[in-house]
Amino acid sequence: MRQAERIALPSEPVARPAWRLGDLSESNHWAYYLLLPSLLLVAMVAVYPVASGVWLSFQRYNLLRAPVPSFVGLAQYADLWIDSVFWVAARNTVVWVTVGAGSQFLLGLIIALALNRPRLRGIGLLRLGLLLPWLMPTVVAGHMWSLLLDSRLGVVNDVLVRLGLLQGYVAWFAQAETAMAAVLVVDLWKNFPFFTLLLLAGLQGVPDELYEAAEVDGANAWYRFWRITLPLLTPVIVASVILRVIGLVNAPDLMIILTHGGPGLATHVLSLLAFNNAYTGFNFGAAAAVATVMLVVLMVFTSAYVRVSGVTRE
Amino acid sequence: MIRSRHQTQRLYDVLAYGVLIGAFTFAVFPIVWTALTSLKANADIVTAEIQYFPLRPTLQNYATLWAQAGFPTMFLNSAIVTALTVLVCLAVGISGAYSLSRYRFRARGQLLLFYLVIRMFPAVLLLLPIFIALRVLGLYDTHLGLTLAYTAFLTPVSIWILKGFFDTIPPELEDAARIDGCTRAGAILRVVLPLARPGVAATAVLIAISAWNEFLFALMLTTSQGIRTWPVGLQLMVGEYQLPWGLLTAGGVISIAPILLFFALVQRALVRGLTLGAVKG
Amino acid sequence: MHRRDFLRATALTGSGLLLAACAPQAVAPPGVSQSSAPTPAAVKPAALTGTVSYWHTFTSQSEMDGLTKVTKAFKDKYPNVTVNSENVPNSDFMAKFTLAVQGGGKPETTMISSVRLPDMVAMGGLIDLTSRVAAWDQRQYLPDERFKDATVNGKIYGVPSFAFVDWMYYRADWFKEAGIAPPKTFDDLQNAAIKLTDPSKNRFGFGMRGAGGGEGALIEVIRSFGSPIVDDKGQPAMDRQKATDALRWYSELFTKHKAVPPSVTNDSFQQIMTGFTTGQTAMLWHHTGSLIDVSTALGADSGKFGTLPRPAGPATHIADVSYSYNGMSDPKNADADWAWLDHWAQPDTQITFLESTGYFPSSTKVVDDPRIQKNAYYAAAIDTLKFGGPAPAFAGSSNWGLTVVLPNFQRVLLGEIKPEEAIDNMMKGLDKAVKG
Repeated sequence: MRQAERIALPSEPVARPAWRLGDLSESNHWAYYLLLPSLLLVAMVAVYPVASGVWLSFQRYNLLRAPVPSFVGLAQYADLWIDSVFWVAARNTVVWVTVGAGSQFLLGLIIALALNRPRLRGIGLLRLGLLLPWLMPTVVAGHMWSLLLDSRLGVVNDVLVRLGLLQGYVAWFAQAETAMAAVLVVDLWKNFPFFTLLLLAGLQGVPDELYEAAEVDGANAWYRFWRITLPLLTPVIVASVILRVIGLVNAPDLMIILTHGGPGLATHVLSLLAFNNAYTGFNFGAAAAVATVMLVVLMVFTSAYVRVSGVTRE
Repeated sequence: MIRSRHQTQRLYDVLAYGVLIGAFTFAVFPIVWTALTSLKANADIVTAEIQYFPLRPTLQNYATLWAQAGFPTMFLNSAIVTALTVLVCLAVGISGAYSLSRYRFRARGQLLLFYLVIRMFPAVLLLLPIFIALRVLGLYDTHLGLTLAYTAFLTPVSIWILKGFFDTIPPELEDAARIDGCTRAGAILRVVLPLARPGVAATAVLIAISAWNEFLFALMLTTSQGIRTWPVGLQLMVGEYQLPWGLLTAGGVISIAPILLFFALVQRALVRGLTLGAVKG
Repeated sequence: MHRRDFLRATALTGSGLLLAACAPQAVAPPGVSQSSAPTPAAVKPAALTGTVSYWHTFTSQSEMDGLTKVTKAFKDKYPNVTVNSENVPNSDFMAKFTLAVQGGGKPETTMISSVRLPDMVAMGGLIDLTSRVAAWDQRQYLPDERFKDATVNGKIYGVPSFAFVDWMYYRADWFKEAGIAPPKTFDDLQNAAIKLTDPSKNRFGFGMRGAGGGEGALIEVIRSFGSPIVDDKGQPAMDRQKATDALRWYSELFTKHKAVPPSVTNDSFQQIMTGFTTGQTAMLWHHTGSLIDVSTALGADSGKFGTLPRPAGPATHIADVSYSYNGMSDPKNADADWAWLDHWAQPDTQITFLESTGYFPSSTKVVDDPRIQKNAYYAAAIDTLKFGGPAPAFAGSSNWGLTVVLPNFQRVLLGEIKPEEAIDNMMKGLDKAVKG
């Protein structure tokens, strides 16, 4: 994209075979050599664990009852189908993921666009500050936010009351109506920097010449954004959205600290269901079934999204 | 015409500032609160009236935290594992991502999805197989073992993100380099990587933060006698009946420091990097 | 390298690791416990050598201080034995233990809480200590009662080291101001709670625990109304009517009488403690383990707070007394491991630990110590020991409590469902937990 920039290159052919890497890269199988390290690593450490996890979903394996699993076919899935808690968790997960990923992406994008403006001063400090939430370890962030939103000692409550936006302190995590929203706000706070970081790096790669050319042709800002920026950003957007969606579906850490699925079942999500099954109920078969459902849904989503966005086309 | 364009630009600048200041406040306010809390004694944190600024600021929390058994060691272990993880993930990720970005082979789409599969399964259920594998390999409770577990999870991230960045660099530039006599590897190192610097830097930061803060595998794959890492130390403070706010927040502040340092070093690379004699107007 | 070879290489490596990881791990079948060899004669201290590994969940400064002192005393007694303690975060203890049971690396000795013990036994993670305990000289100071929570199918799996006696804190100054006597029954408690609630002063009568851990108090209330949870054979034995009455009475403290802070459904230990110590609530149900925290916050002899036994319910007087046990999981150094367990039950150790943490001792010999007898606050605990006993615990009970009892309780508090439906769900869940 950065065309016609002069890059220092050797004017003579590189002395071979002194540089073996260069040699290797000229072979016909260079593409495979490049892939080999990552493929081996992931295959070695990923294939067996995931396969055994999926296999476990077809077994009955409750550590409290039997030391070895026994094959039961689709019985675990049948149990999930009739379990109302599963469906509540599934519904909550949909809300959690769509609102979470959507809000984090939008906020991250808006901030990245703002940070991308070349003439702003104090950018370095702003950029650093905006990354901080993501740096904070979840255990600290989770407990700090539960303190910030506490109904007795919560600074947020205090500030909102002083500003006149609230009548009295609100127990954000104790009410079914506000619990999910509160957890989403905390997750937004923690994770928007992920998008900001990546989208900003992506924006930096869009050459000015394209914008200048478009302006000369009379395009307005919206057109420039929609027709130039977004398409060029698509690969980065797709990658970051997929990764974030996977993270939201799979990781219950924040939820565990803030509400543990409560109050009632208001913030109960599938990852928490799997976690409870595994580490409070020791029912690994059931946990595996929930996890496999999540895996399948994620695979469907990812393939569909990748296909629709055309990232692996051509 | 030019004046109004100037005005429009100024307007956008003001808007941008507004957005940034607002977001900055949202992002930084809880961090500042955490830092302030870390300077208070516990008795001043749990009070009937909220104390905004510490009336009796103290560094005792930091002193106590650092003096606790094993905490400096845990910090060091985290640093080592994080550094190793970043190096391996970048090396492995750059090569894999480049291959997937530039070369078309039949299973490319499926391969990309395959990389993600390990992340699509909740980590809690992957614990046992990985635990057993590391024990069998003799890598349990070693820096290398934990790095191996981390890179397995973070390589897919690096590959996906780096591929996204590589996709935005036109292959014609590498062709030009090869015509000038570069090997393919040379083209990658001299053309693609410099142009992808923002992306590589962003990926490095992402990997570093993920490895630094990772808790579950660190807890299960290490012991206090061995290479226990920092996040486990933080979690240890959350007891069944105790939650020392001062210590926990001090721990949070200490956690951020090295990553901030790393980010500050890498920050330059995130900006429009290469201007080697750029041809401009 | 052709693509075919490449794929083959990957497959081979992958399956190599797969085979390696599939190596059969010896997991003891549940219920079949492995006995540690009984040693009738005491082993000479100097003869014991080697290391003892110990997992625990001590967190606070005072607990760690206590552990350090206890460890040092052990080293003085057995100079050739080294204890390697590993602290495991409390919330992840079972996850780490389960992993060790399935994949190897169990500790030689471990701290065990009463709620976790049945699960740990069921998965084959603990060693049967019955014969060792029978031949033990400290046995006389540890009545049968104290081993009840550690006994499964007649076999003992743990040695009690300290106790958590459920009791109640109350704001003595508020009660005095309002002229009410400290509550002795559930009715007293309800009346006091209503009377002491004053929203204008941000005061509530009762600091109910409605989040993690709160299911324990509810179960105590249910039992106080006359409905057991399981019978002597471990079969479900809940009485639908009585349990519903219990849940209705308890939840109405919040839903009808508004005597509980509105954050109840998110209030776990941290929050109810904060509520009591910052002057928001008048009464608090907890146990002896928090005495030091409360007296530090409110002042030990300020007259602001007092301790009481739990009030008596309409049918029976219930208060849980749970013990922290020490047991063996993988005794590679059996005699030294037993010496460590024995050490914790020694009166000196118990007193050392009491001084550091305020935790109530398990040995009756120590309860007679003036440090306990003269402390006015402990009187409530000593009284409670006369009628208190273990909470019902069985394999799967903590899961039932956390994933069935608690969410249903919260939904009643939120007004989403009626107590009848909640009890219905709890009984169904109980059946499932016990019968599978």
